[in-house]
Amino acid sequence: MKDEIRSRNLLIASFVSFFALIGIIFFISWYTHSELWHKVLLWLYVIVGVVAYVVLCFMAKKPAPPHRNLLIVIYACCLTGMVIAGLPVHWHIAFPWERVIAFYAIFGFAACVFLIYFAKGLRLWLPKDYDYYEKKRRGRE
Amino acid sequence: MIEWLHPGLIFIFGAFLIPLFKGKWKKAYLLLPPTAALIVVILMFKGVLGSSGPFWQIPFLQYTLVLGRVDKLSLCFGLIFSLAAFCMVLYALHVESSIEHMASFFYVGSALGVVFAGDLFTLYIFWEIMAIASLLLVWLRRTDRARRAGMRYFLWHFFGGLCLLGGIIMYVINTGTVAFDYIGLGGVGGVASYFIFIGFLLNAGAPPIHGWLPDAYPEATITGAVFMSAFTTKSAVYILVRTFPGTDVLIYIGAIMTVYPIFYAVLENNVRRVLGYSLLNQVGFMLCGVGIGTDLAICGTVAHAFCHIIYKGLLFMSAGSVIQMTGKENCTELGGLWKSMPFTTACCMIAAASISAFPGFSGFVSKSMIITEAGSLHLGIVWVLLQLASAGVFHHAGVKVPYFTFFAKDSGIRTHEPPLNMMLGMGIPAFLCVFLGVYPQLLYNILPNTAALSYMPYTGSHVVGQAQMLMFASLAFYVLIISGVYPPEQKKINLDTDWLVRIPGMRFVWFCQKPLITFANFIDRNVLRTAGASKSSPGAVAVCEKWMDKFYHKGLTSTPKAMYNGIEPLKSEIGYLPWNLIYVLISFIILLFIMLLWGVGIK
Repeated sequence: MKDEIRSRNLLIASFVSFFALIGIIFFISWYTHSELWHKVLLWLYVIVGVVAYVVLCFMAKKPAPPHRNLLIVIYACCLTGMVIAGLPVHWHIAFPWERVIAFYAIFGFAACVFLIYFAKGLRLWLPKDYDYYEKKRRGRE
Repeated sequence: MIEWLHPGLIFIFGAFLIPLFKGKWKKAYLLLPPTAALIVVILMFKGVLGSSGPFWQIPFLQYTLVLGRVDKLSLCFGLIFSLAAFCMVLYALHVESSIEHMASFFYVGSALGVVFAGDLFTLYIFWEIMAIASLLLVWLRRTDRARRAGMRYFLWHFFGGLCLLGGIIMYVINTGTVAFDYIGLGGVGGVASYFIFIGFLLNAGAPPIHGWLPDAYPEATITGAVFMSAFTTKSAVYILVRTFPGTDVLIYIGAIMTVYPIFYAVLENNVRRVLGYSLLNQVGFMLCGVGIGTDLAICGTVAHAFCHIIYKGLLFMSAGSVIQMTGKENCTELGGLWKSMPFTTACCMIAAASISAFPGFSGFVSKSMIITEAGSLHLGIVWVLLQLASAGVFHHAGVKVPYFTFFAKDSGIRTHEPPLNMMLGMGIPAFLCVFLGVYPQLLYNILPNTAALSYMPYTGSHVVGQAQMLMFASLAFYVLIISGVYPPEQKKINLDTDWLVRIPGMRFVWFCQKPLITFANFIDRNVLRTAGASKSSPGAVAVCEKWMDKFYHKGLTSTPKAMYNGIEPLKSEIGYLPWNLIYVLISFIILLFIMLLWGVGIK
């Protein structure tokens, strides 16, 4: 169980680092219109990648539980931060529904919930036993 | 000075030399043809070798066969095919079996042949070599499931190949040209264009004729599946860009194709089958781009194919490493592998971020072009479906595969990283995923038209919109998995259109074997009885049967038998060879020539 929580936290940690990166990309591309940010970004990737790899290897050796609550707080901050970041953006609107505040956030959440529930519905009749076709074939022969 | 060199033929001729080498020399030699092909394609880009215009034209009957049609589109696909082939051959370097390397070389070579083909005959021949070579990659797994899945794979492709062949013959007779250019549905091609269209769509995996892909890919060899993930569907995309750009129906086929595999991928247990479904989903984006058909959409399609080959190959490679090292391929049996395989985990995460189009990774700079173009043409439903699919792809390929394989609950499996060559083979695409995401201009510069040059992927609305969507999709995943709503993994299979071949197909075979044969025997007996042959002169019947035997069984089948005996030593390696299939294929090619001569005659 402890291990399960840890791996879940690890996933959150990776999300957090991804989103931190996105924030940095956005920040740099927003304030500079030069080509410099490409280079900055590339180095950032290298540094973050190396750090993440070292942390990963370290965690694999030493079972020290990460601060779960802290991670959740950071995650929540990222979520709200991303919604706030969307407010000053100049949106290229193609459809009227894109005018809704935080449309993409709502859409992303709703789409995934819909997909999972639909898939759960399909699970009622799509799955068959692992040797379903073999049984059918043997039945024929 | 050589005018032009065919990179596909480098692979095909290079394949014949593989059995001559052993050990270290073999490994060194295996890297030679991919490197040579890559250099040749880069030289074409630089204009040192011919960078435009038809090369290697061969007159045939009244037509001209073109082996080397080089322009920006074919160069772009040629580059990514040879680049992917290099990484994949590096990944497969540890494989001992020569025949497997030969099959993959033939496969890559024929895919490059399709890309550089300038006429429909050359296209068809390389197309069929591709089908046979990929079939071998499935059969070489040497399991009963693989043998059966391979047979079904062949049946699907045989159907597609026949549609294509019939379409090509009708098209050539209708239009009098073998040129492989814009065809378009209806138009000058008439009915022929529909047949050609179906033949191409089958290889692209469009619904409902996609059953072969999730059926056969998980059964292929570990390295074979990596090769297969790149070439069959993407060469079909290339051909559709050539022949059917701007076909409206493709928009809707593509949009449906992006959405429905998501449900299967969520329910599926086999890691490589999940990846197969996400492959279909990504090809759906490309078909949609082809259907939209504007300059930017075509650029988006080509760019997406370019990035897709890299990250999908990487996903199949990391899944392959897991299967290679643990021997297990079901999500229910895996989990917690990040401790033993950190490098593979990192590569898989990078590929997952690319396929879900995180800003800063390669998927983002290509997929957004197609969606933007759907938006600017105000295709409301299509736009919603594509966005739904982008959120969904994050779910199955972006989260599910890495999560259930490398994290989730610990399965207790302790292993170590794959061999060095596999790690290198994964490292190069992982680097490219990030590199193309950061320097998209490099990719945009080589695209077939200039519309992409003015396209900016990193605008505020793109980056924040995509980031918001993925972030809240991750929140949905987290909430659903914590609350236990997310469907747990089950050790089951899901019904798909391969059912069509497996159940009605089996009934058809039964129908042929039982009622039809009984009826034939009845007719046979009664005709003989009516003729009185069985009573009055049994000797004559025997003589007649003997002659028939000699003609059919010795005369017609002795050639394949002799060929088979000639390669007796290979038999232990391959189990059995599809000689009867090749024989059927050769017969069909002969039929093609006869039909062509007939076509020439009636004009």
